Amino acid sequence: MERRTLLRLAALAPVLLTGCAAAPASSALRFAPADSDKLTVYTSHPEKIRVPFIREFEDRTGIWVETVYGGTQEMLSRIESEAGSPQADVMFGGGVESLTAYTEYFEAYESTERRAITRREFASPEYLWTGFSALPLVFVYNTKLLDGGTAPQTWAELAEPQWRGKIGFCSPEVSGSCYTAISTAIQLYGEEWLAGFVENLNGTTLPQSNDIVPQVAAGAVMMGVTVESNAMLAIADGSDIGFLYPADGTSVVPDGVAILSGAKNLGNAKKFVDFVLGAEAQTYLMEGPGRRPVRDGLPELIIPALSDIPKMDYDVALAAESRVEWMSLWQELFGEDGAQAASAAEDSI
Amino acid sequence: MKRHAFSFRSQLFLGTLLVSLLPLFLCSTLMLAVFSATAKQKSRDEGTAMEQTLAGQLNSALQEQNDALLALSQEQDAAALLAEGDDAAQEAYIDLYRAANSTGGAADFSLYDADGVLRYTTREDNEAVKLPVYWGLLRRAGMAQQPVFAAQLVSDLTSRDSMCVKGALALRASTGGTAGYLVCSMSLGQTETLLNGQLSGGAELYIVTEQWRLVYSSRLRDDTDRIDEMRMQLFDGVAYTGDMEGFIGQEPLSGLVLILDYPAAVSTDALALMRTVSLMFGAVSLLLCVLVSRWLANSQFKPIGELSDAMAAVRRGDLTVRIPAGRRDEFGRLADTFNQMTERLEEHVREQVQHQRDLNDAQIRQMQAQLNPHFLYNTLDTMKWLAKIHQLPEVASLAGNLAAILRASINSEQFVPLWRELELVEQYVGIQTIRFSGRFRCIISVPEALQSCIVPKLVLQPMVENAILHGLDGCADGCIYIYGWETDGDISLSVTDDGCGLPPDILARINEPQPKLLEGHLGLYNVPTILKLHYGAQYGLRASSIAGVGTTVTLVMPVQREGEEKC
Repeated sequence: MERRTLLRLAALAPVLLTGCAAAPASSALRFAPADSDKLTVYTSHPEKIRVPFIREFEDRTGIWVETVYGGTQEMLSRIESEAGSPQADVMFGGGVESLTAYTEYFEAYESTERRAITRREFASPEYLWTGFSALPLVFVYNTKLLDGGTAPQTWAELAEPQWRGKIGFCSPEVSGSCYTAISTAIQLYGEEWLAGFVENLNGTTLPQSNDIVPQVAAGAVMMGVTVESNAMLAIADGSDIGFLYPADGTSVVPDGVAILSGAKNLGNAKKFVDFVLGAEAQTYLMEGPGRRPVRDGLPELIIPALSDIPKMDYDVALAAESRVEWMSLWQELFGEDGAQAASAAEDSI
Repeated sequence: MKRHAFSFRSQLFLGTLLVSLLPLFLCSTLMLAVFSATAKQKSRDEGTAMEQTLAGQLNSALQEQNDALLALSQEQDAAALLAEGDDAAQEAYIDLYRAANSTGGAADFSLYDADGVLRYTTREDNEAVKLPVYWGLLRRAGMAQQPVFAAQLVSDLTSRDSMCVKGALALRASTGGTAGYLVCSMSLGQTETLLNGQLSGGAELYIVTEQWRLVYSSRLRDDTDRIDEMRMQLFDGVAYTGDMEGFIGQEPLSGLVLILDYPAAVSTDALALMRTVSLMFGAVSLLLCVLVSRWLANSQFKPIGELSDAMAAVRRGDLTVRIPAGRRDEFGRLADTFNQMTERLEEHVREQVQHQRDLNDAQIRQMQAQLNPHFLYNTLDTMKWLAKIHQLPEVASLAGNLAAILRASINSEQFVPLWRELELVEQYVGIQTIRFSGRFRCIISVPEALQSCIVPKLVLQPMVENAILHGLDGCADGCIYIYGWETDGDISLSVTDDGCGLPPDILARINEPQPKLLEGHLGLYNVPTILKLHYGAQYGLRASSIAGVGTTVTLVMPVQREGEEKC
């Protein structure tokens, strides 16, 4: 008996010395994913989009997705700084103009779903990125101050003096969508348009593009330029606003998805891209968060249908190339103060 | 003397410290460790058991729902269930309620048509009116023949009405396509009712998907961050290092993973308290060590110090010092021994001093006594001449002989020629002849060659005195013969009387190799002692006697002449 007690004590000795037994939580490792079942995604999508898509992807494939969320610019800078050994596999979200500036960090991948995406601005020519959801620019107006007839109908009108001091806008240095807006109008009417438009801003811009819709709803400004989904959400929330598509054609710039070059989980990254571009995910995009898909051939659940919206032929590559030039033009016209107002505000496409 | 760098006191202190603190330390450490290890083991067993119970509970509930879905789909034709009209609706509701009741209210049952539009439901509110059939649960149900179960992937984790787990079974139309979907759903509230009864002792339950997305927390909190910490570590394939005592199991039907956060049986607070108590015991025993070692050191050190002081006093010469007795231990015995030793020493010294004092007295007396013989001698000389003047020859002879003997005896010389010794004997005999009125004769016959031999002073005279006083006692006409001869370098001088003879016991004593003091026979002790001291043990006295015939006493000593070296 004594001997047995001694033996037991001896067996306990290592436990006593180290002070702890193996914690059962460590057995959780048997639930750990295999290396082939991992994927790391950088995303700038709001929770409403990123959570259902990523969880459905996990549920379908059994792949574990590690999600890192941040602003578009933050995520892209991170990708740039990690270029030597990328910590992520996929960049999910971010306007394609922003993505275009970082194509050197992306791996070309022509998705199997690519054939259903036909519009030129919905995928980069080398397939370094592919669009995910289409974001037409709209004019949003306060329904108590204006109506569909009295609100400005075209980009050209925005440069006319009667709208001076009545437009809510944000510095294109801060907001990707605002850059897209001036880029759209410049592509339509040339750089002269910008002079008139900046004149109408009266030297005032809003700190963030997210402020545009609330400021319009509050009547601080009569109208503004924003992406369609923002306006739709605000209307759904009961704001006193309406929106219209510029008659001289709006740009439909998507946000995109891209695979990072040197991705550790390249196969899973491709699966993810295929998934988010797939018909089911694109349908869910419409039914769930209410965004326009980039795929053709889906039932048009959002009215008006994309095909019914007046569109101009937006050149993403030109917009990306001319960014420095047009930005300095903006600064020149707007003045140094406007340039200084730029903060690291999040880009909300 | 490095070995004694520590004092006795600090050695004692360290010793007591060692024997009291070390076992205490070992004991408390061991007890603490054993206690916390067994408590850990116990909580591990309990946690595992509780997790298995919970997983079993969830599994049996889902199994019931699974069976209810199957039963419903088999009992009723899909077309009948999905038929329009009030009667059909009532029928469908009856079926759905029956199914819901068969699960004990753990789940609600709903019927969706082929487009995912809700037709009927037992749930009172909050059920989605349309579910995408290409997405999520209905998509999976459409692909399967059996009911499928899955967690609601996106929901509010803090509301009891939020969906938690759903099961769905596609209803096949007679044409082969999908006619609709039977869905059972458990809200967070229903899940809580089902499982929380099994939770006890502050345990928390989390349910996550296979990819560890939180779908249920037993406290209805959005503890996503807590789970995400584990999820991140799993994703990175490293062992969990967080604060959760997780017991993890998987429910097979839904693939959901149950994580039980079972609190440690012994809280860190309790352990800290036990540690504090142990430390306090340590402090108490440290204090005791100090006190006991001081007390012990004092009780041991005091007698040693006393002894040491006493010895130092003795070394300085103070023999009167004594250590107070009264202890009964070893120190008491040591003190007694020391006291006895100093007593003996003191006594010894006292004796020595007394002895020395006595000696000094004797010397003084001797010096004083030396005055008298000269005075006596001179007086006797005066008496001799006065006697001659007054024609008293006998008195003159007596005084002359006595003066000669007195002079010889007070002479400081120890050795004299034999003729002088013989002369002294003649003078002595002359005195005794007058005293005893010629009752004896004395004949001396010593060869001329031996006359010059050197002999110790006054060795022959006591023999002659014995012969006159004892040998011839009672004889009217005795004769004493004194002979001397030489044999082998030794001179022998014999004194023979023809008296009554010696008693045998005295004769035997005289002939013993070591002289013994005999009462009244001082000469028989002194003479042989002198001879043996001077010449060696083989020399001395020999006596022979025949009762009624006479006695002969012979002195034997080596022949030595004037000028020869004395032994």
